[in-house]
Amino acid sequence: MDTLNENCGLPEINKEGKILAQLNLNADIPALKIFKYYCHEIASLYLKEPDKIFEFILCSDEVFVNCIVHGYKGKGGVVNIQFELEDNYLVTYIRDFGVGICEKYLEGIPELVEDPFCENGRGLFLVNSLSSKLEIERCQDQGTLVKIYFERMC
Amino acid sequence: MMIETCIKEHIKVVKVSGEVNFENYREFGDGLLRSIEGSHNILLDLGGLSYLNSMGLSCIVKAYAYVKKDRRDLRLCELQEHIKKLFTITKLDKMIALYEKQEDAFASYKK
Repeated sequence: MDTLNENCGLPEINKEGKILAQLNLNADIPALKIFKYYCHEIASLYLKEPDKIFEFILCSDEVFVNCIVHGYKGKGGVVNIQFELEDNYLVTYIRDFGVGICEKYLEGIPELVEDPFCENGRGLFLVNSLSSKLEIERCQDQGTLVKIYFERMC
Repeated sequence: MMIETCIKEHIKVVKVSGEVNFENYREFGDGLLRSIEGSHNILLDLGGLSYLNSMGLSCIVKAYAYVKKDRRDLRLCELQEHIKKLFTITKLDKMIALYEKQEDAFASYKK
């Protein structure tokens, strides 16, 4: 697979198959922009409605940023992305090889923290609320796999 | 992302436009805190804001807390529907007053 940050060119979106695109990206801001570009293009094809496209991009963004900030603690690493069609869902797989997500998120996304003035803790809550389904796995070898499901319009 | 401020009818209007994302949320947070300095109540006009992530939401919460500590108030107006939904989902609309139009927000300050 190409690592886009090495300027190998952007892989095309495969509109014919079940796997639409696979990316190997660095956990940094330039790669995040590339990821969001793909999210926009793919969402435009399969989700159609502008508000759903925004929500899809935002959810993907939040999870990728978690890879950067929490998975790799800002020290960099690789994020594997796969966009796939599964039944009537558009599914985004986001895998990092960092420290692994906190155990509490494996039992379900916590409700919002009680303190409304709390400045943190809204990212995954938003993803869980906006998407059709969210699955999180702490990987046996290393890191975290997040699967974000959005119901397709076509 | 752009922040513009003006004083109107003794209220400081802080207008945010563009996107707030991982790349610029710190700049947004710092700019917002600078904009709300002073003694005025604040009206945050988000009509031009097209993208807001959870870190941007946190910046707004921080600004609200700062203003409340100062015994002032901060209200929001002109949110685009997809942005307003974020405040609803996170229940921030129960804490921070949201108004559809700027004039409605001004009217609320006069009550």
